[in-house]
Amino acid sequence: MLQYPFIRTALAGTLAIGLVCAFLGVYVVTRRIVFVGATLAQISSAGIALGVWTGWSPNALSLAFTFLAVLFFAHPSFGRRWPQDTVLGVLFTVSGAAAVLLVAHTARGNEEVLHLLQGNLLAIDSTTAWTSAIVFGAILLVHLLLYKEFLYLSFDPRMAATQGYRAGGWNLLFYALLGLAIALAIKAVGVLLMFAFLVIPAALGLVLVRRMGGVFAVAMAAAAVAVVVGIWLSYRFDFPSGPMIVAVMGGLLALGGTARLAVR
Amino acid sequence: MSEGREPLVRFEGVALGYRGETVIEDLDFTLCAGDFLGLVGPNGAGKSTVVKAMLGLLKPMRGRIVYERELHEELEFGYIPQRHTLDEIFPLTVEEIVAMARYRSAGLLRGPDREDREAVEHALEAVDIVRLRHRGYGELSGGQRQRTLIARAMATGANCLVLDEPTDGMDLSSQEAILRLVSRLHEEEGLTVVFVSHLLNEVANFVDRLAMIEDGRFAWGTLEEILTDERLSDLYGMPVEVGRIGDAVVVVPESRL
Repeated sequence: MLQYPFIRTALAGTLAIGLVCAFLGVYVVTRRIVFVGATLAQISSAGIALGVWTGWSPNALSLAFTFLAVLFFAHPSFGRRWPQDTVLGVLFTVSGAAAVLLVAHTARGNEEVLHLLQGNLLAIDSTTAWTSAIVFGAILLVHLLLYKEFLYLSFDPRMAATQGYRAGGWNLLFYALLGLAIALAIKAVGVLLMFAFLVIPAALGLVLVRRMGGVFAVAMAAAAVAVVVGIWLSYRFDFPSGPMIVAVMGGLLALGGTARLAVR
Repeated sequence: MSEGREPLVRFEGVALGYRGETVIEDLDFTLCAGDFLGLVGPNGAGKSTVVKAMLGLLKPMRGRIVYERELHEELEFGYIPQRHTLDEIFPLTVEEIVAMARYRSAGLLRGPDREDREAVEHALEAVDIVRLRHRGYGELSGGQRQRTLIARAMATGANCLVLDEPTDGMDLSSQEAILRLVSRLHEEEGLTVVFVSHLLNEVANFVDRLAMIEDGRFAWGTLEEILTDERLSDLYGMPVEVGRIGDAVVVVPESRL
């Protein structure tokens, strides 16, 4: 299948997105903000839908929507007056509905809805693949350079604050990087695959490994395997590639969970 | 004020609260170098709020908190949070958690140096958990987790430990072990200690100062000043008797005698 340039491009772009989203997903799962990730993804897709409807740049609107949400989620008052899950539930459903409604009467309404949900990996062009590699590489680099700070502020923000860390600022940086990754990933791979990258590989890492470094390594390896195997299966048996990659990740998690139970 | 001891932090007519609602007011007390202060009150009375203010994480609504200037630079708080606030989903070892204490001093983009490693080693030894260094935090008992957090606070180079309900939810022997450990660190390492608890009987036999919060009322002083029938009856709003079993002080409501 690698003789086709569009498959090589799809593979490279999806690998860049998958590896970095799997890395970020370890924080998403351990900080127990999975629903925040899902809601950011949905808000981002609403931005894309608005772009499709109005003819303005879907990327710019997606980023703008996501960063507004990031500012809201990273604010210290988030979740104080109203329970976090209630606020997230409202935003998730309303932005999801908005995304569908905004594209419903466009020229390719149903197709756009499907595209938002499951993406279209095979349509990733080389510019998108290169942009993804550079931006997602930069996000990963920032995380690796600031690894100990992000880990400390995720694990025990109050203790970190007593030592002089500005927890609010670090939180904002964390969410901004997450939001950037989500907004860019959604356009290329859709809500379903992006969200799966954030959750399933990290869950597998936590099931299999009991060291932080190992969890990151397993999560990224699982994402990479799922991308390669998923794209090959979708090519070989003519299935949509995004859902196939999610199915492979689900299979890996089931295998990992079973192996873990067997070892116990 | 504690006689002969240098003041570290003074609360002067402080009122504390959140979003304009007062949780506790009229706080007047001084924490001095070398104090072993017990901060006692029922759940929800505002003990953790006082701790937050002391650590500089919450600004007073009224009054002021004075950090004595000549000693302020030397004052390093080592905060020990309630252990259930830390999520064991993070697959971190005891050593990794204790080493977090040195992240700030190591600075951005730098790993731990020899001084950092020595501080971690000393802290692990001081609280007797060297053998647990490679164990996962989630695999530890409540007492072992508390020791890990105490070691982390010590590894910051702190000279004042602030323990927020460290014995909450522990059995009697674990409570006793933690109190004896903190008492030993207070004496041998010369640490100032603020020990928060909702159990007066638990801390009254270890601390040398008491700050008590009860139903909006606040009392502070030495054990001799606070642990009297009159003072405690006034504070609790019901008749209370202070007795002794051997060397131990026991506070009991009169209705149960």
